[in-house]
Amino acid sequence: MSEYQFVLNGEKRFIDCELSRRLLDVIRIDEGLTGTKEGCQEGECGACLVFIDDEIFNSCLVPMSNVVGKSVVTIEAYAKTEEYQRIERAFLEAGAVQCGYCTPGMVMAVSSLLRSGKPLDEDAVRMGLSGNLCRCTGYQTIFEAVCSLKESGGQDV
Amino acid sequence: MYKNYRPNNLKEALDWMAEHKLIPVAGGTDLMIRARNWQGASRAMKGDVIYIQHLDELRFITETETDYHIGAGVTQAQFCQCDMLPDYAREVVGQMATPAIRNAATIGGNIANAASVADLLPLLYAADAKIVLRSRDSRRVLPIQSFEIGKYKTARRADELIFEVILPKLEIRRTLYKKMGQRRASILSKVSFMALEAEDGTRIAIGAVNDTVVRSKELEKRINEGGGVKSVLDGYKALLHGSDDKRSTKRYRERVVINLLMKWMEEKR
Ligand SMILES: Cc1cc2nc3c(=O)[nH]c(=O)nc-3n(C[C@H](O)[C@H](O)[C@H](O)COP(=O)(O)OP(=O)(O)OC[C@H]3O[C@@H](n4cnc5c(N)ncnc54)[C@H](O)[C@@H]3O)c2cc1C
Ligand code: FES
Ligand code: FES
Repeated sequence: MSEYQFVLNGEKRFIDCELSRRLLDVIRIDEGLTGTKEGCQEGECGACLVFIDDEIFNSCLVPMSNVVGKSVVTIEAYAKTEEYQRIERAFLEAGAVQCGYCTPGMVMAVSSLLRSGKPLDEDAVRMGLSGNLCRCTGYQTIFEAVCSLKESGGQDV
Repeated sequence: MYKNYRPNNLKEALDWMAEHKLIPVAGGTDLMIRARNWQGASRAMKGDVIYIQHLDELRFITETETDYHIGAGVTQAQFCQCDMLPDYAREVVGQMATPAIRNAATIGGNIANAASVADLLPLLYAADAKIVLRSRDSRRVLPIQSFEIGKYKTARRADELIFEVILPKLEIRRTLYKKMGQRRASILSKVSFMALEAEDGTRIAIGAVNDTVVRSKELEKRINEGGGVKSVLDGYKALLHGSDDKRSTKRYRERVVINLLMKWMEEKR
């Protein structure tokens, strides 16, 4: 068995594949977790974002060597958190989801923006989501959803 | 098939690099794209690789009275977040790529990659930064100009790693940084322009136009001495060799550079 390990959604895993294998392939193919999407394969679209030790990374560019000893969280596990549910409600209220392909990555970028503690003004939101492409919404409803989080958006009524 | 090496520490990395020809992989944001392949397939690396992103010995930011020392493994995100580093430098790095890419991409990777569009380079040229290279048996310190010898070409020997960047402390009085691209984030620069006014006067470095960054001490001297605007502009024009490519045209780039130079010189008056 391999000497290298990482933690995926809270569970320990041995890394038995090549160290150059993309984290994205391990998540989608080896683990069957298909919530993380593959878009451009070159770091541009953000569909493949995951958390590594609580920071967002493009999993299409991360070789497995770079997650040894780290904790990876995909959208499947993140969706169980309260923070996620608040973002989801804000997206639904603003109509920020159409086909949904960009949404898992988009939501993770939003989470990272929230955690950064930056004020959620228009500029910060645009810069925070600058690595996430969406082919459907035209972005405006997404920006509205995120800006609404600074008030009561996404809170249960 | 290539081999994957994952050293436990820097010494082991340099020992292995002295014995085998290995391609360093840091954040992978350039290299993993170059090695792209079908979903699930093995990445198309061009030779045996050595992973260095996890080496803590390359992740430090320290200062002396005269310089900042920035480890090659420092990520762009860490660079931006470090209060010790000067604002003008953090501003440049903060405009690179996207938040997620900045979490992975390293300073060393941008310098070693030596793309003509690498956005860190104009800053390092303007600041007269030095690159420290280490191998098992040697340590070399090169001025950035001598390190970057062409498009995707550096003076690094195969057994060396970039260890750190030495960024001199300058007394900055004024700066003008402009990254021109198709959009504001995550874009290859058409022009990456850095002007600084330090205690010894103006320094100007222009990236993404020629194969390597343009910097002319002679023209800077002319600006400092209040020489004619036209002669300065003509001087820079003669140094821009870039041709039309998919990012932009020669004419557009020249125009941007001239406008920025004029803005810089007008503000001085
Ligand atoms: C979406 C996207 C946007 C981007 N935007 C920008 C941008 O705005 N501006 C910009 O300049 N770049 C940009 N880049 C390019 C890239 O992110 C940077 O060049 C980055 O700094 C590379 O660092 P890395 O650690 O990922 O390098 P890697 O991909 O790991 O390595 C790059 C090269 O450097 C070598 N190398 C790495 N570390 C060392 C070392 N310590 N010693 C010797 N050799 C070493 C590798 O062998 C390889 O040849 C972007 C990339 C993507 C995917
Ligand atoms: S698939 Fe990773 S950024 Fe597009
Ligand atoms: S909703 Fe379809 S790509 Fe964003």
